[in-house]
Amino acid sequence: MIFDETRVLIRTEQLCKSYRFGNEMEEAVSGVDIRIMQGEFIVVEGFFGKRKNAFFNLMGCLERPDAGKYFFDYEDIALAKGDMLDNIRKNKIGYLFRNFNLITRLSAAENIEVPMSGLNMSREEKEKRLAKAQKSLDIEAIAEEKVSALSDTNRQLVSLARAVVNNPLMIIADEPAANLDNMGGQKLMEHLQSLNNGGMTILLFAEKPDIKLFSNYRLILFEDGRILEDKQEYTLSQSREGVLK
Amino acid sequence: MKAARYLISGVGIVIGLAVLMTIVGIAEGGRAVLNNNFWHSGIKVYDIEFSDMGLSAEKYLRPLDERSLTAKMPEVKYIIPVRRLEAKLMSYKASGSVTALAVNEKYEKYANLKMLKGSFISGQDVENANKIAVIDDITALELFGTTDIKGQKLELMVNGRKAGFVVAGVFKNFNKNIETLFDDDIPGLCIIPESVPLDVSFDFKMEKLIAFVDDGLHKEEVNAKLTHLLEKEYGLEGVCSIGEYEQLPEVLKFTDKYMIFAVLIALAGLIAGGAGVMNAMLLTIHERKKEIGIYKLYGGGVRELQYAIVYRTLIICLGCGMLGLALGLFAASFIGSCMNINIKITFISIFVTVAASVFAGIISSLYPAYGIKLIDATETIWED
Repeated sequence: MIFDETRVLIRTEQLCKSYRFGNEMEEAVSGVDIRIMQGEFIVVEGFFGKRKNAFFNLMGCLERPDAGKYFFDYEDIALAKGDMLDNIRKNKIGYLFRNFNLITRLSAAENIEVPMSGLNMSREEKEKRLAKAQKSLDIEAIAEEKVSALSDTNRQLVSLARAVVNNPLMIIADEPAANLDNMGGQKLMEHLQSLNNGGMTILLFAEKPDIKLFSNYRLILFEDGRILEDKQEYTLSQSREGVLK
Repeated sequence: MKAARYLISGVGIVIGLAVLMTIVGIAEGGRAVLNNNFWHSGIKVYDIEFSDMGLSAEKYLRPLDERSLTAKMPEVKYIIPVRRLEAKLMSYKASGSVTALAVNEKYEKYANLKMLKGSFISGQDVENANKIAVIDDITALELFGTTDIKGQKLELMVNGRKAGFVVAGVFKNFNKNIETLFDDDIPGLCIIPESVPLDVSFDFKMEKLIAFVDDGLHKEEVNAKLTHLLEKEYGLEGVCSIGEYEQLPEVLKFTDKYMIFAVLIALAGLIAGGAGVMNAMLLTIHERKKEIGIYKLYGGGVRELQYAIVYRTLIICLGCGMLGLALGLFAASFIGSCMNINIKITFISIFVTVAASVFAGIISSLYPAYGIKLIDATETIWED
């Protein structure tokens, strides 16, 4: 893990978010203080559900917090106005989900182009980025296939290509290997590791303790809307058993 | 399937605009015919009908020609005497029943006759009392098997007496209109110059005089003057009555009513079609909720998605509008040909149709476009 100790990518102070659960409002994220440097590999672990989704939404700049402060790349998300969140998501964050969230009627290449749809760039530049993303994940051969016809592993690789096509600062992933077989999961994690080695921040949400990792990472235990533990620097040997199951 | 759905949803627009174009095309064509018939503005047309049809031919064969009437009443610009006789028409190979009309050269424009072959009676034919005839195309086919019969000989026969004519032209039968399209018993038409002297047995009845009178005159004045003049001419009282029928304004009023009717139908169609398209778009948005959520996740601007919906709705409505326009033109052409009216489609009516489609498209896209704004990416991305 190579990260820039001088660049704080995420900083939160007493971050809070409430949701309506049934008839009552409940605090899904309560008083979270966290600091993530550019280039870190973070694993958020714990009992998941709507609280995890809420935390993911906040970290992924999908929503503004109800209270507290959240700075993403030095921008105050709590005070974000207009298209600011859209622009951050478009340019600085890539997303991975366990259910892939791909548009099934489109081809792999068309799905990868989705984050570029709102960007003001030439067709040549788009094609260049597309080709680069496909090549980095070795999925050129399936580019023209409809994603509905692809295997789960290939779908997740398409999803990863979509996440990296705009060369974001961070990839936020929700159990990306949960629906993949061991080989597929391993392949995906190798790619994530490679991206992290290139300086991209990875924020990985994983429910099970057998986290599929090959390298060092920072583990955050998130339970009941709070951060219970923030352990720095797990090693390769400590996590290998989990990876290989 | 999607295209079919959109087309079905916009069927109201198709029907509404097709009806609008049909009625407008025919009504405008009819107006053009009437305007054309009246040669120029400032002219009113009076149909002078004779209440006593017992007058014999020799008494009024030429009771009142244009010159004498216009001399006595300068406000009268033109006059067309219309005499009528039911007779038999014979060619060298067949015969058939016809209604013979004795008129002058202005009747062609008045009746909006469309000449298919040859020419109509000219002023010179009337002047020289040439024994020529023009007949309708159906009669021509019955008698000769073709409409190309200029110069062929014909015989008009009444009570065993015959009078020979040479065919000068063939016109499209305007009696075969939409009402009589399937009625084979409608007699054909044979038109001859009103000046042709015929045997007394050719008892032509004066059906009416068509008088073209200066517009500046009051109706009552025209009525009184003409009645006096004609009754003096015939030497009888109460022989004629002048219909205060001002054709042009009446017909314009009539077509105006139809126009309003057409506009109402088109409006209803646009509302129904617009609602249908809106519904189809809402359904599409619902079906693509997750897709829209994914676009929003990656910062796909709501505005771009909304523009996409507006654009698509516009294309559908415009497509339906164009289809309605084409169907309307086709229907108007068909009905117009049955009614012997050349339909008239103006640039304005096409512009109005296109504008109405665009308007329906914009209106029906507003709510679906708003619906996109309401889609929450944070909900859709967590749906399995």
